[in-house]
Formats: sequence, C-alpha cells, structure tokens
Amino acid sequence: MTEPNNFSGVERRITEAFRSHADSVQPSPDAYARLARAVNAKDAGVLERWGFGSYFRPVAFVAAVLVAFGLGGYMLSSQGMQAVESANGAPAAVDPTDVLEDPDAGSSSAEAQADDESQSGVSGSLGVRPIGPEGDNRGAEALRQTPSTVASGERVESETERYMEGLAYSPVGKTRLDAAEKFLELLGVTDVDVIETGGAANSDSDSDADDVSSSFLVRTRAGEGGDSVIITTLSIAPIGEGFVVDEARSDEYNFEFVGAVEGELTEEDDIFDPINIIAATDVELTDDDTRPRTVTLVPVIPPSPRFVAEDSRVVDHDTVGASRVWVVVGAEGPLVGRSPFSAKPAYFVGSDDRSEYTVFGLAPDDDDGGLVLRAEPNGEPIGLIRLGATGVKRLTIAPRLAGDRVWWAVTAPDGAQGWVASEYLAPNDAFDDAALVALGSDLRDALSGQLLIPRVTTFAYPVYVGPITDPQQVKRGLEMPMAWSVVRGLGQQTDGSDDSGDSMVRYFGIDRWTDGEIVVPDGYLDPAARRSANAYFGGLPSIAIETVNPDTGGRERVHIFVSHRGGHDSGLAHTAIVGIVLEREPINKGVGGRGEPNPNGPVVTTPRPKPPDRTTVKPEPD
Amino acid sequence: VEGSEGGATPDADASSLSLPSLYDTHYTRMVRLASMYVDHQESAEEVVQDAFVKLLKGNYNIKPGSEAAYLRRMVLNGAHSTLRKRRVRRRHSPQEPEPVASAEESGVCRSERDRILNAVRQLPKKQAAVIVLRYYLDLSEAEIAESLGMARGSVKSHAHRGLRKLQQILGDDERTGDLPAGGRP
Repeated sequence: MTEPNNFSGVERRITEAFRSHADSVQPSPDAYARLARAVNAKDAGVLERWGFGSYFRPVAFVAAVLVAFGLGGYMLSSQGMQAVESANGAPAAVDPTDVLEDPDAGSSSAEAQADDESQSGVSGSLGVRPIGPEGDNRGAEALRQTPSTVASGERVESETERYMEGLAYSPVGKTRLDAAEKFLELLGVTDVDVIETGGAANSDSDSDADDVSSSFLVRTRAGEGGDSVIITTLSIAPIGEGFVVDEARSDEYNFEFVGAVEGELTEEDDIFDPINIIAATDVELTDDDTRPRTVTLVPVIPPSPRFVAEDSRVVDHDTVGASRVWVVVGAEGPLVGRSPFSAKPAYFVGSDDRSEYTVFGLAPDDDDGGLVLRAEPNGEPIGLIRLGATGVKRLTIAPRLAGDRVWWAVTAPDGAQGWVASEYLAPNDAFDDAALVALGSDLRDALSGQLLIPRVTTFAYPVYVGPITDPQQVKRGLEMPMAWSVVRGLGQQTDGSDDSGDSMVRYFGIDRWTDGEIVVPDGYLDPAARRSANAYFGGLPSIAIETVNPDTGGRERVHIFVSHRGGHDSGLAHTAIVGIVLEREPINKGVGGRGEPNPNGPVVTTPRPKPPDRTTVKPEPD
Repeated sequence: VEGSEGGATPDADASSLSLPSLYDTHYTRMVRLASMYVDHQESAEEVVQDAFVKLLKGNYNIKPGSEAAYLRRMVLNGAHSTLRKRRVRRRHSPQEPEPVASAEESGVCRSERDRILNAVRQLPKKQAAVIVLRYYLDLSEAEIAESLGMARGSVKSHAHRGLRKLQQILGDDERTGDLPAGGRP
C-alpha cells in the first residue's frame, strides 16, 4: 500500500462522466405501459414459459400447490426419508431424475399441508421456506414406515415421460430450491428464509442451459419488529443429477464464489461463471495481512469415490479475508453434466427393463463379501446382498447423498429393505452372462483396458441426442452426428479447439480421427472389460462409431456414453458425455461374426493392458 | 447526479409499493444505474423492468423505506447477470462471434465519458458497484452497504481498490493532461 490515496482527480472525472451519462439516458416513452403489462401478465407469463397452456393450467395449479406445501425436496439436509405418496394415497412416482426429494412429501392431507404452511411460512406458489432446526422434523425411521413403495415401472415411466415432454414437472423448480437450502446449510447459514424470486426457465432461448437457473433471495427471518435483512442472493441451475451454484455472495457471511476458469484467474473473472463444486478440501489462505489459516471447503455435492480432485486451486482474488471460499478443482472420471457422482442416471428407476439390479463391483474377497444393506444412508448395517445377486429393486425414493456416496433405497432379493451404495448396482441386463467380473470400485480397475475419459468436463451441451440407442444399430438416425457434435463441443469448451479432431486426440487418446476413420492406440478392451463397461454405463444412451482396421480386418469401435436429461421442447435438455470406451475386435472383414478369426490378418490378441495413467494419456497429434 | 427520484428518500408508506409510485420515484434512476453496466438502454430497461416485476410480485416483506435498496440490488444483480450470461453464452457457443473490440480499443469511442465508463466496467463487480453507487447515486456508505449486502468496511475497501484501479487505468490520461474530447484514437 505504497501508493498515495489522493483520488480527487479521478473522483472528479468519474462524477462528471456519470453526470454526463445520466443526462443522456431517458426511459423509453412506452416504458410505463410495458412495465404495467409485465406486472399484470407476470403470473400467466410464468405458466406460458413453462409450457403450460390453458389445457395444463389445472395441472399447474396442483403442482404449484404441492410445491408450495412442501413437496419440494428436503432430501440433502434430511436424516431420513419418507416415501412420496400422491394425493390419492397411492405411491406417487418421484421424478427419478431428482436427487433432492422432499422426505415430507408424503403428507397428503390438507390439514397437514396447512400445518406445514403455517410452520414454514410458505407464501405463494414461489414459496418461502425457512430452514433451520424447526424445519427439520424428519425422522430417520421413515423408510421403515413406508415399506410399500416398491417401484411401479409403469407409473415411474409415465412420470418420466411427463418430465421428458417438458411439462415442467415441478421437481425442476423444487430441486433448485432444495439446492439453495442445502447450499446455505453447508455454509452454516441458518434461521433464514429462502425465497425463490423467479428466473426458472425464463428465457425464450432453448439453447442456453444457463437460462434455466433460478434466483433465490436469502433473508433473515423477520423478528418481532418485522425487520428482515437480505443476506444474499443465489442463482442455481440444475445440471445433470445435481446443480450448479451460478452466483452467490455475501459479505455478511463472508462467502463468495469465483468462476471456474482455466489458467490463472484475473480480476475480470469477478464476473461469475458457473462453478463445479465437487470436492472438499482443506486449503491454506493468506489474506491481506499475510495471516495464513486453513479453511475447509465444503462441496455442495460430495464426490464419488471414483473421482479424484486434483489441481485444486484456491482463487484468492477478492476472496481475501473471507472465512470461506470455494476452490475450483479438476476431476477425472465419468461426469454427468457438472455433477460427477453417478454414471447411472436415476431416471431409469422402475422402468420396465431396469427395475432390477445386480450387485457388482465388489472384490470377492472383501471382508463383507457383498453389498451392505443399511438402515439409512451410510447408516447401520442391517443386511448383506451377496456379490452377483440379481433382482435388487429400487424403491421410488430419491437417492440420498451421504458419506461421499449416492445411496439408493432398495428391496433386496430376500425382501429386506434398506439403503445401499448405488455404485455397486448395475441393471440386470447389463451383463452378457452370469459370470460376474470382480471389479474394483474404480472404473479404471474395472475395465483393465483403455478407458478414455475427458480430462475435465464442466460443461453440458444442450443438444438432442435421441432415444436410447442400441450400440449394434448405430448407423442410422441422428445419433451419431449429434454425439460427435457433443464431442466437438466438449473439445471446444475445454480447450477452445476447433472440430478438427484435436480435442479427440488430446482428451480421448485417439491417435487421429475423421468422420470416417478412427485410429486408436494399441491396446483395447477384451470381452470381459467390455462387459464391465456395459455394466458400469448400463442403461445410458451410447453411440458406437465403428470402423474397420485394414491390417487386421477387425472392427474397431468407440463407444461414447451419453447422459441426456430434460425435455427436448422445454429448453431444459442437455447432454453430456460420461465416458468413452475404445474397443477393438478381431472380427473378420466381410464375415462380420463377432469373434471369428480373421483370415486376412493376424488375430489381435486381447491382453488386459495395464490401465493407463490418466494423467499421461495425452498422445500428441502426429 | 439526480434522476427523477430527486434524491429524496421514498415515502415509507405502503403506497410506495404501488407501480405508479415506484415508477415515478425510481424508474428513471434505475435505468440510468443499469445503463452503467449494460451498454444498451434496451437491456438496461429490461433489467429494471424485471426488478420492478420481482419487487411487486415477490411477496417480499420489505421494511418501509427500503424498497429503493431492494431495487438497487435487484438492478445490480440483474445487470451483472446479463453480463455474465453474455459471457457464458459466448463461451458455450463458439460460433457466436467474439465481442468486437471495445470502443476504446477501436477508436470509435472518443469521449472522455465513455472512456471512463469503460474503465468502470472493467472493474471487478463489487468495486464497480460501489463506485457507481457512490459517485453516481451519491449514496452514503451505509446506503451502499445496505444495497450491496456488505459491511461498511467492505464498502470502503472496495471503493479504495476501485479508485486505485481507475487511477491506474486512466493514469496515462491524467499525466498527459486533459485530452480533448475524443481522446486517443
């Protein structure tokens, strides 16, 4: 601080410039009329933007009432859960894409809702919901109280379809409110009201994922004198199975967010970009007084054990002196949008062919010898489901996050119900045969082959990929070009490269590629590894690009696993690549039978290559 | 620098939350405030209109007399959100043309006023907000703190940092004396 603090000159210039500018700005003549129309039409406009025409207004009303009365989730801050039931008492299908469910949503009586309203201060369809001790009356025994919530495939599918059709099914807004509450909880901000101030899907744009964010106002609860202080505003967008805090700041509570950027942060980055918060880290901070201290950065969504936070970078610009700051981290592993904790999208819950799961991914010699069934997420063990057991059914209860894992409520093959770590379950039909490969919890170990994953994926590309695609029938339709567009976009977002293929080279380890040719490095997956990949990614839409190796006559495939979310017409859709697997088969050119020897060349052996060090899988272009 | 608000504290009665009252008292000033950030008046008016709609429809429990602070904060957030979305959109849409060089850089902007406004827009968000509220709206530190939801000490530090940076940005001009309107090409 050696500079003089005489700013009189610049102050004078600023004042004069501002005065001159102010004189040049006058409201447009029709400003009042437009504003009056906007105020009067606001309510209807919201419905219209959400896709509710007059035909759907009754549905909108019911959804709004349900949301306002607490159907909105409370999942992350809850210790227990309760099944969601519809107003008629039947098990209601939770929108399975929503990981943030309200455990209290089962309340179906008007009285209970009214009580809930009076306690929570809900006002209006946008909702004002307090968080704090009195709001958390959910019981950990909820699961045991609601044993009759086994998934109904038909029902869930129906609900999913509603969501996918872009009817703006209430969980979208609900999730963001939950995210806001969870976020504040993590910050230690309690005894506040969270008010959604709009912004949800409020853009006519159907291509800007940023526009699906919601704004929330956080304020202290009014005291006796009716005073209420605004603490901060939050902007939160649902991404993948989680959410992104676009923007939040408060000096009163000393938290601040900075944008995730590559390279050194500059002051320009004070304009916030979406942040991918994925890992808790202790970091050393040094403030203006060079007073070192350690703070713990808490993730909004805990990471999967599969993911390794690295390249942690504390952004100290303008966060100096804050008691909490957020760190931007890099991560490896399959990502679903910006929420990299599950490669298995929840919206397959209860669908006809995905309602039963197989236990996999555990080493046979594990002490437990199977998947532990627990009374609550990360809670006390109550049973064991052996490795390879099939027929595990999910309940129509949204996943929970606890202990860095995503927990599913399930019914075990013997009928016992409880919670299990979701990463060890794969759809039954993901396995080609009964032989289960003992897989590690880390996909790198599981595949024992080439698993090429984007180094950093903090981006969701709003593109329609299409329905689930049979990898064997991929050469038709729009799927392939759209998948490639995702790949290209990924590269562009990641490093700004064009679509010449540099990003494929750099991030996916492919030697070179064009639309008609893919050259992969030596090493490929053996059948067991392929099964493992299928198990891991089971159920995800996948795109396979196939070519023929002229030397071996064998076909080579690149499987691109894509997670697609949202309704195509709603402007909420986005697609993200969650994994890419290379596969090379010794298939006879012209014969086409899988596994047949190639008479024209050597049969490529299928050793199980050592998993590549992902930090080094960056082959340089020729 | 006063707009139609006239610099007076708005009436603290309930009627101040009616649209006509809010409009007469705050609209012009808020548009001017937003226009400090977004370079198009149309965008500025959109930001302000959104803020008015939120305030009027948002069921806020506003302390009487505090609506101006609410509005200022909403307008600032809206303006910054507009800028942020532009950046995100550019980043996520490679086909979208890159922003053209600033008027300052291209020599199109030739006024001292615009040069200073550009400099203010280059400041970090908080610093810019404090500078604008202080030197444009003539708000006190306490009012700025309330509007931005920050402590008064932070207002001081941001103002200091902002002025220092502006002095750096504009320093060359200062040292070379007042440039004629139009400045450097």
